[in-house]
Amino acid sequence: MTTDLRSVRRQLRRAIPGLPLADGSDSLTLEHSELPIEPPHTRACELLEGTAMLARRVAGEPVVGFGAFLDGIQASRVWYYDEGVPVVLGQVAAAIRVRIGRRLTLWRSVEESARFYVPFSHLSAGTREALESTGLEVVDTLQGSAGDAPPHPLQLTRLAYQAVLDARELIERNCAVEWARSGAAPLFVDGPVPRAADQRPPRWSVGVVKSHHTLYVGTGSIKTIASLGERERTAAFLIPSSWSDPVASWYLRVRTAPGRDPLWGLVRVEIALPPSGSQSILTEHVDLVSRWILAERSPLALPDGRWDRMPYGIRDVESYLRVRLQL
Amino acid sequence: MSNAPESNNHEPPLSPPPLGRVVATEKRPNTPHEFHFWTALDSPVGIGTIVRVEGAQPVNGSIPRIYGVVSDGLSYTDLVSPLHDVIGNDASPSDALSAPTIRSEIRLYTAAVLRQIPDEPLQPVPMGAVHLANDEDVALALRMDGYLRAENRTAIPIGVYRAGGMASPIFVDADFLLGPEAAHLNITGVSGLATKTSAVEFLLASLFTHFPRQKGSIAAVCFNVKGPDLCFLDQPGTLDADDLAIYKTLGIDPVPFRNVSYYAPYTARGVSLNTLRSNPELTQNVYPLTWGLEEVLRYAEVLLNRDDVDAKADALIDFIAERVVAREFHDTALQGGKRYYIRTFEDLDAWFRDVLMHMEDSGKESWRTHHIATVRKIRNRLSNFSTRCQGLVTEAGAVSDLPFGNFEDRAVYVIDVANLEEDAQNLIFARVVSALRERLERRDLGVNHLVVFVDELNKYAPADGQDTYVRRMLLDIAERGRYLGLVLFSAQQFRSQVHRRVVGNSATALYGRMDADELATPGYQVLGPATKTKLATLDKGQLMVRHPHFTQPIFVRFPRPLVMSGRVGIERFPQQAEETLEDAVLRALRRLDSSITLDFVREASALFDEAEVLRARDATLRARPANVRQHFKAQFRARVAAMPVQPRQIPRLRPTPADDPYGS
Repeated sequence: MTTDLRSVRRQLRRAIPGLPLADGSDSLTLEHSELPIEPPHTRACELLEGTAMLARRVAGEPVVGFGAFLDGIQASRVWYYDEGVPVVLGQVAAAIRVRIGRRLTLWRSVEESARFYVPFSHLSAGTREALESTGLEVVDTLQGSAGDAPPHPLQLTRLAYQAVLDARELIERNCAVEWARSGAAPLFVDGPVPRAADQRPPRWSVGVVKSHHTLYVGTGSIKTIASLGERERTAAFLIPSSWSDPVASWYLRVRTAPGRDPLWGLVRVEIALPPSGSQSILTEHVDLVSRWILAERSPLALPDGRWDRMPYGIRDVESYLRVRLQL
Repeated sequence: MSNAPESNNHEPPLSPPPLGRVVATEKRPNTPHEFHFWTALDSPVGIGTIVRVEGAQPVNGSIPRIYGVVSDGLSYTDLVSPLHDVIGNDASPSDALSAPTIRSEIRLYTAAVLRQIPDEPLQPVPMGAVHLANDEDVALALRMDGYLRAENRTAIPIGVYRAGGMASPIFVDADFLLGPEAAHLNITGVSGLATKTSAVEFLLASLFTHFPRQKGSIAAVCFNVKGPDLCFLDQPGTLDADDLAIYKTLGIDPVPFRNVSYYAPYTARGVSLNTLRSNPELTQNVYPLTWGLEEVLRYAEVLLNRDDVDAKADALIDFIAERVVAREFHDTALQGGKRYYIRTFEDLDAWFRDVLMHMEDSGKESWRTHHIATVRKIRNRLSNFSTRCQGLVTEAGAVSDLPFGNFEDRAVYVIDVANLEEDAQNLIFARVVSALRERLERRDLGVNHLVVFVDELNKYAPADGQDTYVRRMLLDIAERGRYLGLVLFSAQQFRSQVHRRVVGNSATALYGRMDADELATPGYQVLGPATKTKLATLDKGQLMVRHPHFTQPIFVRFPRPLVMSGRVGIERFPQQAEETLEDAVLRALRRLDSSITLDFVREASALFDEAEVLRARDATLRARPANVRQHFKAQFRARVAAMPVQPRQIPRLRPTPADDPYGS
């Protein structure tokens, strides 16, 4: 559901006299601003294939396997500062676009109403009521934490941003689960494979991660990842999780170009850990999924800057969601 | 008071879900006369499709409805650069075919507004849902509702508009096709597709069926200017189920014309008629077209070139026409006051001879203010009329003409001039049309409205070249004919080569498939590139129509004509070989008396030469006597045994002076 932000703004101005006229609608979203993030890092992992993270040629030619694409979108902006506390308005949406006759069309779309994301305990008196008077849901960004977060505006903004991200992941996960229930074809998910309520990734959901803030490596395997050739992958490895089932993952070089950085054209794939069986079955499955991903290299997702890793289907979903949220 | 929007007079009919949505951007805004919309890829919209837009917001209490016709279309994908497609497919076109996903694509159309309801205030087209127009929408969009009302119906079907599986009949307004509001129809298109002739044949059938009886009678005169095009209007054509369905939709009985008469001059020899419709099975309604001095003299200007007709020559011709021909004339100076009664070219030549003899004998340079050189020139020019128009103009004055005064309602009169020389064609055209005009002015033609169909209009009313009698006459019809009920249906391959005032006065214009060069001429600048492209690729049976009630050109389809095409007709009814003299006379006389036999003709004409026999035939046809045999035989002088006689001394005329500029 698209929120009429102008109306919200008018109501808020009635509730909070002296509110600045600027509503932040023309400012950069937090997703595009330079929020402080933790530095890139590596993480050790347990191999599921072999004993070393070696480069492997994907066995077989690319083959079309995905029947649909799932992506989510979020937009969060600081609307104003309440005595130094950021009042963030966030919107999230997710959609699955199904491929029928080689054309993509909408299968399911979830558009949440905009919400205010604020730390309740740091708000000045009357602000929460004023925000609630707009009719929008107000979310406490300190919920579940010890409540002792420092009142640094940037830290509070990060918390609001994370809360919006969580809301987005939730609706993505719900979409993926619903798709899996429909018993349809494999689903290409932009980002980590979502976990269902039972903490297991939905069956036939394939998460494809384009950013590599965290690199999963074994000893010396950075070189292996960096030097992967086109249509080569690493050995599959396990990504453990403290809150959900572990997933199988591997790096895959979708395309290469001389002189590019080592992460160009590189994706990390996540799937539910296959039922225990022989390693050859796992290898066969990882190769098959890799072939599906390689088949999505055409058409290009240009002019998106992530075109080297992004399939056209995900760009299509993003375009749809941007129009729906009028971003 | 309720704020709910009031419904206007024209309730929109229930319709299926919308097929598109109006869109507008700052760079591509909508205006009161144009709007843009997108559709699904499989929508039946194309250039020429009529659509209806339902506005979302009421204006003055009414939800606005806008009708438009698609004038242009765009399609594109989200591909930013063609190079991206090359890169994405590794420069291999075949790889593109196997790409798992086809890019998002848009079909964006531009439509020209046909009508807005309500008419005021006239606003830019609002955003709204776009529907395919149904029959009622089409009638409203093209403002046909005004003349489709039962109490005042003047609608003439001109074809069907097809879109999305529908076939909506399209009508033109008889008041704007045949007058008095506007009139005339012009059709243009490349040759060889049978579009122009077929369209006119269909339209005449439609007119004869639907022209309101209360508006009077109607007939058509068609000039067959090439081949056998119009020679089989009374024979059934070949129609398929689709054609029959269109005829049914349009309420036209798919049968050939019931009342058709053909007129053609004789061949130069004078025995057979000069027409491709000479098969004995079809000659029952083919009549000769021959004129004598009286019929032709008034149109001498047609056969004389500009150098011939100076003021002096013109004065002498007028003198002859008004004072000499077809009345008693005498001059004491000529043959001692001989009384002349001149009706034929032969009589006129004898009269000229007497005038010149008088001037030469008396040594005078002029007679009744006419200089001898002028008399010589006009004698020379007039006396060769019958030579230049052999078969049409007769020395002896035999006349066989159209039934002026007795034209019948819903009848077609075809004049076959296809095989004639240009002079004869022009003469026929000038005299027939002038006679029709005069009769309609006097209201004694026999019908109230007359359609004259002329093909190859660029030949008779060219945009460039000399100002001819025929062109002036066509201009006159185009500009004033609608007040008389004289309507011009004209056709040509290149509209740009026809006089602007002739085509400009044609209120209704039809366009078949067009030549690209023709479409590049200034007259087509009002059409968009997509419409021009469609015009250049129109199929047989498709036309673009412009009519005063239609604010934009409309594409229609018409059925194959209900008459036999010239090509098929000439195969089924091949032209008869040149007849023998006796056969030709027999065929002609049998029109008057079916008991006449070949033996009778042979016996009666055995002793006489061909010219005498033909003269007897023409005299009999002209007289239409009760006793045909007796009259025919009486035309021959009695033959007696030949005996030598002394040649009569005929005074010789002086030779033409060497300095006579007109002598030849």
